[in-house]
Amino acid sequence: METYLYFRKFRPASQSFTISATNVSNWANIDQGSATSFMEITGIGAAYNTAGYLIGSETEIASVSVKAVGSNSNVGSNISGGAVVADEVSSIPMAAVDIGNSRLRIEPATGSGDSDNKDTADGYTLVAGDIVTVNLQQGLETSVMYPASSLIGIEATATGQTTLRFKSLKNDGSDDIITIDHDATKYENIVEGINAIINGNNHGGVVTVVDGSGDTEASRIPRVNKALQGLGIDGLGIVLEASY
Amino acid sequence: MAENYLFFAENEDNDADGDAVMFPRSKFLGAVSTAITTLEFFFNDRENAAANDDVSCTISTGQHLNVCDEFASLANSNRNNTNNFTVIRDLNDKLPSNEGAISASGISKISAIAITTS
Repeated sequence: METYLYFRKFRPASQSFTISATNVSNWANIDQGSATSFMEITGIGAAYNTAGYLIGSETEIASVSVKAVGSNSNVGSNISGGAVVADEVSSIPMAAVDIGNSRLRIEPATGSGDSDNKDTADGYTLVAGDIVTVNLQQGLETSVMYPASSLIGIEATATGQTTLRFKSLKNDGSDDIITIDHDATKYENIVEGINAIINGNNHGGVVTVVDGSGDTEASRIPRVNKALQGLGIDGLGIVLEASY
Repeated sequence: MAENYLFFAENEDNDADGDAVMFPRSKFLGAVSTAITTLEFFFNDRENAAANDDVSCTISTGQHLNVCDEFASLANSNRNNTNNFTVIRDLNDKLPSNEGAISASGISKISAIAITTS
């Protein structure tokens, strides 16, 4: 009977940003969220631009909304007919939302920017005091499951980081890689824990190794398998092959 | 222990390339989320070509772990005195006869299937 190992990246369920005057100044004529200040989604278990950890696909975005600090007529025509009032919460169409390197961007509805960073239909020109909320969901390569027999090896790759290599899903000649971030000097404990999971949970179902999602059903799914608890696990990277 | 065989069928007539496929459980490589309603299963390529075969499934929203759980239970459901033909999901709803189906309908959270083989 095979044991199946489930991994899911660290992601907050949602995150809110209160727009500052500095943000507005920095974003003049460019996408809101880019340049010298940006809406960076944190809590992903690594730096915003770390491969295998970062949020780079719009499939991970469930919704984006803006709560207006006051009346604002510089919003797209598809948003409340082109004008919002104080405390009105508007859902932003995904056509005006971009995500890259864990940085959220909303295209403004007005301004002197070109059409690449302005959306008069779905955009929203933010002002200081507006509150942007992003809700996240399962998306491209946020979770993966392998049969234990696909595990090739486990190596210590950095202080506080252990790498698991699995047979490639797509078979392009390179292994699939799962990295687990943990306290320093815990490599041996990680290996022992993985061994215990594979050889001690032969129940015919999936064993959650690490589930870093913010919406975990705590009553059912351990965020970190009990065989790995107490090791300071605070990040999980998944590096698969391109072109899914 | 006898090998378990995993059957997928699209909502077609099982009479064209990619309409249906069956893999030995031992050829299963893993599954990965690709969107909030999609989960992709990978198997060793049947023709030993470069790219592996995959079955992309449209699933109920956010049910990736639950679908994986049901898949694992089915994949591990070897039984004595059967031929271990296991329907993961048959959207054609035309099970092979005389098989003593282990699961008549498979994983109900799967609503569409796209089979890609090399």
